[in-house]
Amino acid sequence: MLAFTIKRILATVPTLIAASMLIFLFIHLIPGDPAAILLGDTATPEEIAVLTKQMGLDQPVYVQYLKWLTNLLQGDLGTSIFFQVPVLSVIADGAETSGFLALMTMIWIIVLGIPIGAIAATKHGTWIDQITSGAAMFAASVPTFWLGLYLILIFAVGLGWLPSSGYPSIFEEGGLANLRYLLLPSLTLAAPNAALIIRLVRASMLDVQREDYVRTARSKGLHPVRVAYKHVFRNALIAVAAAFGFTFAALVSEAVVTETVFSLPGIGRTVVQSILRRDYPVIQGVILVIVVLYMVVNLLVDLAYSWLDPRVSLK
Amino acid sequence: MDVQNLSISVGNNPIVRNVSFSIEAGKTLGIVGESGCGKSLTSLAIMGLLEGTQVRLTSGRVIFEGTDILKVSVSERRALLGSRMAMIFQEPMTSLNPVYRIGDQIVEMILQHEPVGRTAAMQRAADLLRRVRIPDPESRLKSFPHQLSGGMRQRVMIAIALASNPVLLIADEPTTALDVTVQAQILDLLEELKTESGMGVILISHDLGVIAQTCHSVAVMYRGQIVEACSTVELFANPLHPYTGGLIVSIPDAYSNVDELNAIPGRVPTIDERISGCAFHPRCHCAKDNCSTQAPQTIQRADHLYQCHYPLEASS
Ligand SMILES: Nc1ncnc2c1ncn2[C@@H]1O[C@H](COP(=O)(O)OP(=O)(O)OP(=O)(O)O)[C@@H](O)[C@H]1O
Ligand SMILES: [Mg+2]
Repeated sequence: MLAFTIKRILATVPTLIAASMLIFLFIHLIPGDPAAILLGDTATPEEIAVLTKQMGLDQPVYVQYLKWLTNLLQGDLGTSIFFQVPVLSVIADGAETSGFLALMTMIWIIVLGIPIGAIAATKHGTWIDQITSGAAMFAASVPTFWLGLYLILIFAVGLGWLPSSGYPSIFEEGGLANLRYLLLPSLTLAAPNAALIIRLVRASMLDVQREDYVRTARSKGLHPVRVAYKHVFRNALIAVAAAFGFTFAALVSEAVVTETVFSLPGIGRTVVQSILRRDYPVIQGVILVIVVLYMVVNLLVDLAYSWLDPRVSLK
Repeated sequence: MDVQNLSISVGNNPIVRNVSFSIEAGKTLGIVGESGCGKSLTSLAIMGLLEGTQVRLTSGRVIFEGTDILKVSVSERRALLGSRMAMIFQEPMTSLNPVYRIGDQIVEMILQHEPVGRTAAMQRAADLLRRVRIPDPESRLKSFPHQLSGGMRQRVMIAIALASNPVLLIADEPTTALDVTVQAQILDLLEELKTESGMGVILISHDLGVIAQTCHSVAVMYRGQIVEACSTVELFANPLHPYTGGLIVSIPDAYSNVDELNAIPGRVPTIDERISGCAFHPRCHCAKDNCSTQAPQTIQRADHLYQCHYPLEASS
């Protein structure tokens, strides 16, 4: 297991290098002179020259890349043009909100998706199955912003149970109770992905149910609940684990929308604002963080995979 | 065990019709028939493993140790499975759960039916592997199914089936998926275990040669019906149904040198084809006019049952 993990981590290195090159080139994909565009129409040639030099854009591309990479490895993602502070601290400002949002969303996806999917599969063909499958279909097809707005309307405006927007840090007044600000956003973000997991768990359990080894399990005289849990569900999880990698990619783009709808001070909102402000170093930094996270998630998925399925050999 | 008039349908399509046979402790009954004739469905129905498919039991009784097990409650039925009757399947490659170790899969069966601890059960599992001739049982307990060959997996399946000393073992084509040398080993093993434990065995095969070696009596199935049933000796001495005759001459290098492909002309009709009269008549070399219109009744001559208007003449 340890050897497999190390090998798997080493395998991400080339991908990381390729990703860093792409992200670096991103700033060079802006048509025209980036410095001029960053400064806008009113900039004087002197200002442009200063910024060009400051950004190192007057040097050869490979020198720029190596410099950027060296800084990167030292944890320096550059300086925000708008805020004039290190990009890392801009990202860190949004990290708490986005981190908790992601965590709560994952919890929702797991506690809603897996049991409901399993129940739908064991009650296959009954009204329970039809209702949950219908609800899952609905949740999967509703746009994030629409669901978010409706949840605000019902639970914040109508019933007044939960706050509709913002998120004060848990280190401020209110402490952990501030997490209630993230209840509606995380539910909004979780809904379509939990729906996906429900349908996936259900479908793969129904698939596994037809396997010969499930028949063997039943021929042992085991209780149906034990057959469903130990034999069917356990094997169905293998297919589900793979899906979590894809879910993460969907979550990232939906998180941007959700943070905007609920005015959350998270990284998603930072991205949107940075795009509007043409704060390219921040955008670069955030993309880099997302790429790294994505790789970590996929690494975890692979590890889960090899742990769930002994046939995935640790060669 | 006594199986009486068992009929099975898929949707409205009857696949197994009025199958009856009985089997005693310590004896082996062979069921022989071409692929698709309903052998597996019959054995799964006896085990009660058909639920969850579109396959329905339409009639019949299965008397086991004095009770009709098709009538008892689901939980009583479950209590029999594994402990009193067990089954090994046609597909050794896929019949073991790929994510659990061999030992755990055997232990699961033991713990289900006996009040023993895990360590004791694991000890028993190792003994069982030794009984089915798996070398180095202690370390094999820790293997996953994909690390074993087909023959080894089938041995593990046999070990699982024998874990609680069943009185009836159904072996559904236990060797079809294996190569010839392994086939012989597995059959010898089954024979030995049967003699040791005194259980009754239903051995299903499409190979009459296999049946000849191991079974006391035989039921020949064609298109979901038993067309001939008697002792093995009698069957080979006096086959009455033309289909049986064809099967016997097609045993390779056996009793004649008839071109085996010509022994039974034609193919098994698909299950949706309706055939009037005797189901075998389109392929039968003795068929006369009434064979295509009138279904033959089961006729009993001494201990020999057959369904045919024009049985082959007794040769001895
Ligand atoms: N779950 C099912 N649903 C629909 N049809 C089925 C099902 N199981 C079996 N059948 C059909 O029933 C017929 C008999 O199948 P069965 O598996 O009993 O044959 P068999 O005699 O065991 O053949 P083989 O020697 O190939 O194992 C086949 O034509 C098959 O297509
Ligand atoms: Mg079969």
